[in-house]
Amino acid sequence: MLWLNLKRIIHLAWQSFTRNKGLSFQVIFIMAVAVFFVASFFMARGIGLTLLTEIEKRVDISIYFKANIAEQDILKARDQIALFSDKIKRIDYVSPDEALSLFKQEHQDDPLYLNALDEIEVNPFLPSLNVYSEDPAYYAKISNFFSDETRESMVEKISYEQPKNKQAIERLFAILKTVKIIGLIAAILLGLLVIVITANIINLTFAILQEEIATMKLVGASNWFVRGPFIAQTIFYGLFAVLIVDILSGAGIYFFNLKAGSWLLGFNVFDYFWRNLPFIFISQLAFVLLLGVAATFLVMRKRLKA
Amino acid sequence: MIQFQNVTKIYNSYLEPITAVRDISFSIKEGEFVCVVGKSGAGKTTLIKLLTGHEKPSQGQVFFKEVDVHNVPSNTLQKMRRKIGVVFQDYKLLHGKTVFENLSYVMQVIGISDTDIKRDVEQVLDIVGLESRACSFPQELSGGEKQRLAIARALIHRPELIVADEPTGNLDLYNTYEVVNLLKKINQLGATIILATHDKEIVDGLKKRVITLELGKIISDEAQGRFIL
Repeated sequence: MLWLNLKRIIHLAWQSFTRNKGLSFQVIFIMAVAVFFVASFFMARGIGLTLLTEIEKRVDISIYFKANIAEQDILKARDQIALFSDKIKRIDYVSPDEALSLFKQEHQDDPLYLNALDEIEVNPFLPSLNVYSEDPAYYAKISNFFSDETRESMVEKISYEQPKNKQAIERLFAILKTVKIIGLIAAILLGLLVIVITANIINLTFAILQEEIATMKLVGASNWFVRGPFIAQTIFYGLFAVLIVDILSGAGIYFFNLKAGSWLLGFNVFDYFWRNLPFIFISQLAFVLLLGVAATFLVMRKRLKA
Repeated sequence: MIQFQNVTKIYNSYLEPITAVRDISFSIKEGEFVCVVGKSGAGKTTLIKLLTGHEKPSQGQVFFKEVDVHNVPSNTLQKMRRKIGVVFQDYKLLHGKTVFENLSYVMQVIGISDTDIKRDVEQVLDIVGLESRACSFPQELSGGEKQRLAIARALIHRPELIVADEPTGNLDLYNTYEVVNLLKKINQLGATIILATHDKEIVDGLKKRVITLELGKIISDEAQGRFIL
């Protein structure tokens, strides 16, 4: 009996869904817009955070030591810096030989640089420490550490001390912090807006069918037999909305990706979308079904009482 | 089977309250055929709405098979409604469904199998002469066809009680005669019939119990009555 009723509820829902094409199109359109905005926001946030991690990895401070400083003293300084905070993720020591080999590797196709090196006949590279920190505040602390009288003579140059670089680092982190906060507020507001709009659309849709609902009850249909097809119909709306959004987004991102690769630091948006598609699809479906079914349930409760 | 106990229904209107039925008491036994007569506005439709739980009485109680219609949980009321077939004056058809589906819906609600639904619906469509309109939607039907569909829907699930509110209002003489004969036949098979009408010919021809309403009050209740208004 339960299976028979379920089968009938789904059949009645599909019948109404396919017969009221205009209405179905309107609701799917509104739901698709809702899904698109929320999904785009989270997608942009995901891409932003991934890019952020990439950029964070690239931000560092380099301390170049004078050529006569012993490796032992440099490593001692490295250990002291490491004790500052666990926010300092990594400190790499690069010896003059390693620096030379890296340079040669990077410019292997550039004979001009390699010839110039041969002309000099000596290794012009200085030993250095590359510091990677999660918090740019520590860059200033590190810089102060080497301004100390005893250590100042060891250092040839600190790349952080270059004003342009310092400014760029600080500005970048400030932007990222703001983006995270504003993004969260925007997501909550957008989510609320979408919920209100979708609930209203569903309310209006079922208001049109108020007379039919009353008749169904008058011929003895149980509340679930009346409510069921409307809920199933909302599930169809949601499913179609998500499918349309994902197909169009996938196509859009594919073409956008062909042109955007260079200014996204080589980040492959389509690949990111494709890898996360199961999660994106399930999240969107969960969002739209939760929203649609909850709205239908509430609206129907009101209408069944009427 | 049915009992009205001191039932009054007052509608709150914009200008002044309207008393549709006042202090009405009567009972109907199982298997009876009862005509409820009265002029327009006498309270016939309100009486039916009170019986089906569509409206709540302002005072008094309505019982169907010893169950207080207005004092039961929603699912009990719905189960009770499945035992009643109603022909509404304004038809109350499901406009998004075809003629066939309007009939099958009532049977689906009860949980009858698809095979039985198909067989019974085809049979009843044949009886009311709508077999060729099975795939039409209500808005594509004439007034008479809509009325026949409403009658078919009231009969399809073989209810214990059939309540018909002006079921012949839009029918020609031949179809009126057919519908009345159909109701008589169903009554002979054991169903209780309540027929609300202001058609003198029908009432006098039936020679059944007649309850006459005037301005919301019962002015006569005769076992083999006639149209007295």
